[in-house]
Amino acid sequence: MGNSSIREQIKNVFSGGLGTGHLGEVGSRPVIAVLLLIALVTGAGKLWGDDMGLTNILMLYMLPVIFASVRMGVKPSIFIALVSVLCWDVFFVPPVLNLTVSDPRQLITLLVFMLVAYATGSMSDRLRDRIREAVQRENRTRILYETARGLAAVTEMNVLAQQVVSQTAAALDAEAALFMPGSGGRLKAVAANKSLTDLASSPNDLLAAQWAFDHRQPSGLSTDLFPGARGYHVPVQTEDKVLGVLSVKPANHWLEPERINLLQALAGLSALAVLRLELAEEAQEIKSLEASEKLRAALFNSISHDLKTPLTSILASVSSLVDDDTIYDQQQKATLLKGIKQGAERMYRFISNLLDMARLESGYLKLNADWYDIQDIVGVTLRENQEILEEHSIQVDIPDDTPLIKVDYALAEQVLTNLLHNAVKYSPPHTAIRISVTHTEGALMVAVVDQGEGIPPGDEELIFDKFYRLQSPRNVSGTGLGLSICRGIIEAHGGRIWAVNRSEGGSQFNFILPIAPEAPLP
Amino acid sequence: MGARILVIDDEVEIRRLLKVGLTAHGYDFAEASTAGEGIYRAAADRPDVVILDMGLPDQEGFEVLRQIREWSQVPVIILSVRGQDCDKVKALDIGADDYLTKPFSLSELMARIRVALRHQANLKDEPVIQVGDVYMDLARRIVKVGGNEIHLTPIEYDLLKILISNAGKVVTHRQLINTVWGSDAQENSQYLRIYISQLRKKIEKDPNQPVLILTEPGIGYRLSAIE
Repeated sequence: MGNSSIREQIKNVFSGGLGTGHLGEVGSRPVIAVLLLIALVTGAGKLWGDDMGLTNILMLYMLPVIFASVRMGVKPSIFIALVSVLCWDVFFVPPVLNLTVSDPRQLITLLVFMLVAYATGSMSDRLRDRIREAVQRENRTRILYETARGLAAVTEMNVLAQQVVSQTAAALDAEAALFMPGSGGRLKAVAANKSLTDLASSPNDLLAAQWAFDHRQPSGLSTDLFPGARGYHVPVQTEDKVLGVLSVKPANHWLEPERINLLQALAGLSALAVLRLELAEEAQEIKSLEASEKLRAALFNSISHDLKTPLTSILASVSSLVDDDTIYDQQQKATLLKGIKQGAERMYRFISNLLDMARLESGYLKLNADWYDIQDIVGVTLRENQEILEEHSIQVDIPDDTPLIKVDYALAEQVLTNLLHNAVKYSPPHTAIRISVTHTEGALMVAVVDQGEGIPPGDEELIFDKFYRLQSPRNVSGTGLGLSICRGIIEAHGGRIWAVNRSEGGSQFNFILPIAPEAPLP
Repeated sequence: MGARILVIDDEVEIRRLLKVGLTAHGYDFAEASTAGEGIYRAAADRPDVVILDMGLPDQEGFEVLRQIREWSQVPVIILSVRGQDCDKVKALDIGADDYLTKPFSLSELMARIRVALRHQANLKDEPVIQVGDVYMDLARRIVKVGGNEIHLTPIEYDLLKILISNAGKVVTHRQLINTVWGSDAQENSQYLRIYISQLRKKIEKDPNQPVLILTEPGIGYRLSAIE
């Protein structure tokens, strides 16, 4: 719905272009037509008048009167009735060409003509009024409907304010502004259809708007209040709450009752829309508060579990070694020491993940992207994770013509590491884990495939949520942060990551990264 | 007594750990907890290797390195935390010999110290270098891997030559690019990656899991010194 079409409709309503003429102002064409008709009747009477007789000629003169009353309404038709009777008197009633009323019965003729003109004219006036009202109502309804529909689609307050203002300005052919209370209940212009209109800056109008807000009644132009104000200010309110003030400054410095009505209806619509947004915002806030509360609880559980478990085993092993050094043989000592090492590594990984997550969440993550060889990244990742991967057989499949990709090396390695850890965690020892790289015109896809238990059906998306693992019944160590970090990193690169269960068993994690057109080829 | 190692680190736990590890491996241990003390000790104790933490309380690690380099070519191994790749590259480019990222394992540190000492011992050019499976005759421009002669392009040959003559030590991207393409060619890092990838395809058994040319992410490459 463009503003221009509203404006046209409004012009139709208020400038009275209803096609069939208008009250008070008559187009020149019907006047000419009526005068021609009178001339025609006069001519015809002159030609054949001797045969017709005076009475019939008089009847002919009734035609222009009826025509005028139908087309032009009461006042013009009374005038035409007068002209017709005069013509009849001058041209036909003897003495011809003499305006003397010799017979007082002619006054009766004049009276009847005028009565007919009045009755027909006022009837057609009423009919025209009805039509005009109907068209006005229809246009008004259409404007309100379209405004309401436009406002319903808006989800942001400043967009809403702007839309209210522009619709109002277009509908009323006026400058418009929307005021809403700022801190301390003082009104502030939140939107105006022209930058800093008088409405938003003139002290009189600000006072009038504030009064309208405080008293929940219109003020300014067209009211007795604030004669200095150049705008009309109507409160935007619902039954129990006033939300702001909608103000207009009409181009012609006057507001007809029709426009005031329309403005009030628009203010009502705006109130509903503003209220809807306020409620939605509140609901969103409550929801995010709940989510952050849940996250806090999950984080707390995770930290206490993932830090305390390895720490407990480290402390136990170390104190055994310190206190009862003599009772353990070489092999037992090695086992204890290996446990300490693994526990410490687990804690280190966990803390790194937490820090990464915090970095991703806070938006401080800065991509240090450059051109890298995915084969190189895969190789480094495998080397760094040798110990974790030693119980699985690793297959790598990277075509020779794979182009370089622009990524942050450390972050890309982090993604692969987390995916590999995930694969190891959820697949039994001595199964294969396959990393395969494929590429198309604009994208590089890396798949990490395992032969493990797969993802609980329906959870393929949920596993990328923070702390998903904590809500899942499976008892596997880890933070549940790994996959959500992967998603954060891949999305920061403009890529996408997702997981599927394979029909032959196991899960497959895929991520795609965009390949820039200028990517260097091997 | 073995070689003397000076550890400059403000964290007492790290110094204590390194003292145990280094003395157990037969090294003579010296320590300093601030930059000022470290520079003084480097001059007074004449260490054979310096282990320098980048995060010192009084001065930046770079400053210590720069000052030591004004009068000494003693091998310096940098200790730094994960993620500060720029700092590592900067330190390596102004004269550090190698780096380790915390947390590190003692055996890794010992290997780096051995490589540093070995380089210190024979800085003179050798016409024939053998590292693990890779044999390189610089005089006759012959490269053999596992006894089989392989053909390298001139750029691949130059890259391998720098890596092998620094075997066990990290060589930064800039050092590689400067030597192969000259010092004006800083924009060529993606081509470096492509040439390394091609070199790997010729000399590695499995280019997907290279064991000879190792990538040091964000820093450079290292030819693994199989001991």
